[in-house]
Amino acid sequence: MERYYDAREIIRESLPFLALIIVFSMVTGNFLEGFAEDIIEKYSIILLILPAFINMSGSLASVFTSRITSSLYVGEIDEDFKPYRVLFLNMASMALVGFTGFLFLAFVGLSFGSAFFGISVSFSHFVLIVVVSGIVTTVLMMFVGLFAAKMTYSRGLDPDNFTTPAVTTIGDLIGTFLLILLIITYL
Amino acid sequence: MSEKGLVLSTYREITPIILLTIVAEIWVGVLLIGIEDFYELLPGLFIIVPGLMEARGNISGALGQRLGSAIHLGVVSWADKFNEEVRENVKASMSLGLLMSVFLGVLAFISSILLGFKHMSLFDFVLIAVLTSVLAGVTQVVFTVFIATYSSHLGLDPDNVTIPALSVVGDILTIVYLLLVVKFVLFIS
Repeated sequence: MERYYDAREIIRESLPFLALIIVFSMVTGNFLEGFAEDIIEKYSIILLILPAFINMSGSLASVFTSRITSSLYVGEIDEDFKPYRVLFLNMASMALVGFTGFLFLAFVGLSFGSAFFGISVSFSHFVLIVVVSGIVTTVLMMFVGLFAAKMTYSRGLDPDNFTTPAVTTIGDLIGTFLLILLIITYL
Repeated sequence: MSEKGLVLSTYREITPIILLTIVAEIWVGVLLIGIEDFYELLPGLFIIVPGLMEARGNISGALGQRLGSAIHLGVVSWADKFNEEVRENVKASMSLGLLMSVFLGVLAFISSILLGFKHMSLFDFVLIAVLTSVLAGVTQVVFTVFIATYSSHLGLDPDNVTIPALSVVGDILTIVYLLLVVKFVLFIS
């Protein structure tokens, strides 16, 4: 039986992209840090929830793309992701998980923040901001994942090697930006 | 499976682990604050911390995703978790981790020169990156193979659980190993 995976093939496919992603995230990380430093000092609640926030939107979008690439491989959907029903059902599931997760994060973050760091912000505004920016980021990232899957699959590359790095890196950027933007505008 | 059934079962499989990651990530934040004490002792350290976590997450995330596909394709399973497909995947993951950490150490050294930061030697940069990455890599590879194959053995979809589980374990492991490596590097120098 023919082998599916070959270590050299995987390395050859992944290495340039991973290197590119690291350079990209180092540049944007330093840029974001410079841009957000003053804001984060003023709103310490951001610091508290940001790692969990970024992690969750990245995980949800990666799980989504991971499911889609598996469906591609077993032939449940074709190269154009048809039938779209499978796509939408998967998106709906992730959005539902995201809604629960971001709601939970807002509660935990706020309780933790007010108990240990004396943070006091408007409860309803905070919950709304976290849930809205979280779900918007996650949905955007799912499209990034689909795009990455499409671009790689149609070129004969293995999407599994590309989608998670692409999604988490771009997701970090968009998620951080969106959360901070909503917090300074509405909180 | 009915459409409503698919949404519900996915929701039920993913939600608990996602909630767990939130609690764990708050601890990651606390651990990261702990590392800040070393930033003055090893100047430039702060440049590689996000990159290290990111590289580990990307490499093991891709491994988890490939194993998920392999399990769906039926070439890997709980009973057959040490076969050639798995070994090739593990080999690739470990090599990528090693290559990326060397790259990261060099990159951090060059960028701290370019940006005019006070920094440690190239050797220290590469040593810290490689040691942390190899230690975290070995642990994470074992964990990834286990969680991907065992979750499917339990009747769960590995695509649903592997990545969230990995991201938490990976972040925590990377920081804990980094703290140990940093202490070791300070001890030998």
